[in-house]
Amino acid sequence: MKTPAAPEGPDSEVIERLKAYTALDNPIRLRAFRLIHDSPGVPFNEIAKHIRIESGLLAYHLGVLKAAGVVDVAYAREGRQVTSYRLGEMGQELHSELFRGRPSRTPKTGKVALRPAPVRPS
Amino acid sequence: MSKGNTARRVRIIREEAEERLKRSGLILILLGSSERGLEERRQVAEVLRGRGIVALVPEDDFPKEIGPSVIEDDVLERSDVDLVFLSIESWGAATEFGQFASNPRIAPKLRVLVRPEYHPVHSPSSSYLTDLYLTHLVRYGHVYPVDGGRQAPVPSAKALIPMLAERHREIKAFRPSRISK
Repeated sequence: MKTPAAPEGPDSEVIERLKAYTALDNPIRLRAFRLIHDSPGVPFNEIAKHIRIESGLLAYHLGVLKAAGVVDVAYAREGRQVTSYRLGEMGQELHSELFRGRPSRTPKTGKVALRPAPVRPS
Repeated sequence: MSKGNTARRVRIIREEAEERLKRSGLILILLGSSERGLEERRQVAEVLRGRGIVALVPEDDFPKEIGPSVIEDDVLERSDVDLVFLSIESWGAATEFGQFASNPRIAPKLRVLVRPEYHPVHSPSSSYLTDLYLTHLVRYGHVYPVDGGRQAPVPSAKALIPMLAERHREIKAFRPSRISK
């Protein structure tokens, strides 16, 4: 049985948007998205400290953002595995589109001060 | 813009894209054995992502701090995943099937892929597992024979998963009330 080919051309941009906005269409993922934007390279455990849900469920939500191409992931081993997150190119564009003109929650505001993980891209 | 406004804007943009494509957004998880079939699940995920579907392969998409087996009942039950494809290629995957099939909040999302020799319609096997497949088939109708090789003319998992996912998102877009959750 043949698998139909994915559409090409103008639809491909809409397809990417659908995938990205399906991923962002959830309050927990939207919070994680903003957090990752404000603290590039933030490790999983730091995100878990700020978004207080079970780590399994958080892993799922971050997995959705990764699978949609919204965030990039890097891995490092410092005694134990550390996974860290930053927005990818698409994620940056989405952030500009959604939060244009809105001040980001930087450490100066005191709301979010996350420690980026010293990771190497894999 | 408040949090609520941002969420509404995200929803509007998503709906605009859905309207243009005449397809609903979809999130699905591809589960199976970590060894056999992992490469195939990765390839299927790529095909699905190329069509605008968010397809997760836990071994690749989950943080390394969390074992893939943490995808347990409570995670799937409380997440917004639309479909869970489970390729049964090992005893571990069979165990997961038993766990998910008995959970009424997960079972309707479950799409079970088994080789024809274990599928209750294709095989006379009277094993407990085949019997469990039959029960799931009767209750939810989603146990599919795949990868039969020359012995059985059934589709490959690689062809079947995109086909089922596509139809699901069409129904979700046009007749959402007919999608059971």
